[in-house]
Amino acid sequence: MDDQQGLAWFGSLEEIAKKSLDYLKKKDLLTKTVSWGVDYSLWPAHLMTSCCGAELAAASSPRFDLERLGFLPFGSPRQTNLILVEGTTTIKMARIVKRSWEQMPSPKWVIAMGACAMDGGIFFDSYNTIVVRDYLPVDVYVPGCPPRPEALAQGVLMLQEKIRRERQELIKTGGDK
Amino acid sequence: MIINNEDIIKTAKINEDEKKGIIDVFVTDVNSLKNVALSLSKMGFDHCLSVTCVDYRSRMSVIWHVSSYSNDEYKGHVVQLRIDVDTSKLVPDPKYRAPMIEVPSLVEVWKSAEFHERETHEMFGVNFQGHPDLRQILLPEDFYGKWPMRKDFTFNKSGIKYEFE
Repeated sequence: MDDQQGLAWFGSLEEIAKKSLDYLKKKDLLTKTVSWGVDYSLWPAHLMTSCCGAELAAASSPRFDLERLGFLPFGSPRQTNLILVEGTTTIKMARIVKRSWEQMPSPKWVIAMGACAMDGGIFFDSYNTIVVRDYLPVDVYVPGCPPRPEALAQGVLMLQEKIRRERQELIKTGGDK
Repeated sequence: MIINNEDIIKTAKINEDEKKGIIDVFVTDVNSLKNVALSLSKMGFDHCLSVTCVDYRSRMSVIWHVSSYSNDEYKGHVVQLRIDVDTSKLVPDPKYRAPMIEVPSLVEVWKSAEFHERETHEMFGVNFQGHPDLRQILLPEDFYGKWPMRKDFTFNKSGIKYEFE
């Protein structure tokens, strides 16, 4: 607390508020608090594209319980900030995923789950499937066929780490409003 | 002999496999297909299990699998009603990737063949004449006319790339 001793601002209340906010943004405590708040409220849209959705259901169940990481599946895309693409997507389903993605408020992230979502898997040369990176910006890939719930938990932890890093940089450089 | 109907014996080649329970009814003339189907349905083969198609490049064969709930005599037996279409004489159509083949629809005989015929239509490009509603059933609407299950279809990694909007 040494650096805060003798600190004082003068002027009108609005000016002081702006100055003190700029000062606090450069401090670690505030940036950590904000990014902690964001990365422990990852609410995925409840959208099952394929068979890896069964593993997502297991990951949300009491045994693995991803809700302790703030991972709470929601019914509507309007209240969510994370989309999980579980396994293969046909072109018909990819359009629905993209429409849900466009309905979600920013900031938002994508986890591609399973071999099919990464590179097509056993359907790599099919006439009617499409890989996730062709239509969404993917943040985390979770490999496996299907991935175990522990692997999904690892993916969520990695995404949290990424969000923490990104947001701290954003707030420090003043990019985030 | 399970199939003892004279009309069917006259117009089709019958090959019965007692061990597997498959009765092959091969119809050589397209015009007599509907009559054979009607005779089969009168005998007691009351529902259609599946409709499929096989591409042999020079010819394509359309197959209806029919079976019986009502008659215990036909228990464990499946009739495959088969017809061959010669593909070498077909005229190319600019609307489709490959020309469609023409086969009469059997929806009037077996109502349950309707969805199966729609699927065979979009996958193989078989035009079932007299079908009440021949729209796409599984594939997207803009995928029409590509016939992905045919032998001459080239896949994403090795040629055609289907573009996503």
